[in-house]
Amino acid sequence: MVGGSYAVRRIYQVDSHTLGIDWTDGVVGRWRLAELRRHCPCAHCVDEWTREPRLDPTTVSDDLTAKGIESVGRYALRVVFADGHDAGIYTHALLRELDRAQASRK
Amino acid sequence: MKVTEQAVIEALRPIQDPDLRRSIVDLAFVQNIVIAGGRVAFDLVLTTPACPVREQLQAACERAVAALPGVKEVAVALKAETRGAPLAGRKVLETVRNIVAIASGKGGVAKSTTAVNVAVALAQSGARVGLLDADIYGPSVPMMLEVEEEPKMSADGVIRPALALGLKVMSIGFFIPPGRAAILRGPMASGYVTQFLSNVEWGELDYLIVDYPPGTGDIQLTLSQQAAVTAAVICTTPQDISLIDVRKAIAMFETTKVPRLGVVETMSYFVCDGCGKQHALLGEGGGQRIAAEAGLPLLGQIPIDPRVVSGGDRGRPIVVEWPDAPAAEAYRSVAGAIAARLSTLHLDQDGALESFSLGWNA
Repeated sequence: MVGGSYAVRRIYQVDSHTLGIDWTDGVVGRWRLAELRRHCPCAHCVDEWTREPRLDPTTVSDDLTAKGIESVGRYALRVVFADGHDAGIYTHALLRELDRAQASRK
Repeated sequence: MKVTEQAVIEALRPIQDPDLRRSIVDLAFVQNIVIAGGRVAFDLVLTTPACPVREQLQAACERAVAALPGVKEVAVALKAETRGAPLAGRKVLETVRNIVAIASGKGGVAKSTTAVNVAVALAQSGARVGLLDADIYGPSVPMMLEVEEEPKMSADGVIRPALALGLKVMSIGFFIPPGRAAILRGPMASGYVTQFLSNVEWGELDYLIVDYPPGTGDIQLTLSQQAAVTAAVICTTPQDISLIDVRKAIAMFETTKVPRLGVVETMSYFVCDGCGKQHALLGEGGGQRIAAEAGLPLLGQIPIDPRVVSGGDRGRPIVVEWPDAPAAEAYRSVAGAIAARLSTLHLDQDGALESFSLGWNA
């Protein structure tokens, strides 16, 4: 497709704690919401100048859920987490990267 | 010999849309076939009223059907139904089929002039067109268009856009007295753009042309995040120094995954009225080079013509005031190329979701 090699074809809830995306290039992604929250790229969670993490990952419960998820333009999405945090913009590139990192740890 | 609908369809099947590269029958362009004795009539429903090859397609259809035995008369009615993203599920601008960014890396490349003339040219072809001036700090659209109806704010806070030359138009310039400037911090400027996207009664539009501010700043990012911009067109002048900035604009749309339709080169050459020779005042081939480098088509080259400026300054774009001028011709051809490439884009989305909102069951 024009404008990037992949886009979201389908987005869905796998279970209470897991988000699923089928990408247009055939890749299927799975993310535990707690993992997404721990990698939130917003300026509260990552220092904008030094890129130092400012969020202690151990404070995020493994069972974190969400209120909703919505697209941001054509390139990203926003998660409204159950704890109210919704400042992070997860680009498609970041999602793919987190998914790969998760897969390689298994 | 009796003419059948099947025979008509088979006669039309070899005809292809040159942009979409598929049979006009498979694309469902051929509709409402009526056969009465030797008389055959049908509609040719194109993907855009601005289709650059509409007459050629019509003529090809007439020839193909007229060649069938028993056919005495053929009538092909040209119609159009603009293809676009599915409208449901979009948060803002849900009645707009195509949102087209006209952008550049730097100012002074006749970007607003291009946006205005392309918008008017699309409207002249019969499309429903809106024009959003997103250049909050340097709005120039109100001056370039003869406004027939000023914008109005209704009691519930919804803004009715201005009407000008067949376009629905919105610009912060309508709300600032002449000679005054919008002196605002980034978040306020972005706030106005958000208002113009979500609070203006655009109605059903085939195309919303968005005149981007130059550069890659706050307003551009807001547009990329709040609207699922269908595609972007990059403007540049021919000289090399301007190309550095074009690369930045292209990179911005790559990052936000907005498809790039192509490059428009403005101020390409001047035709001497004494000798008729083309003079490349700002150098040659810049648009072609940057387009090739980015793997994009060059959508057109607009010649320098003082009438582009004088018409614009009086609210009469050159496509309206001097429609036979070569520059007007060039703008119409760019508009046609944009419309054609948008139609192709929609066939090529591979099932991608335009935008989504997912509720979570905890």
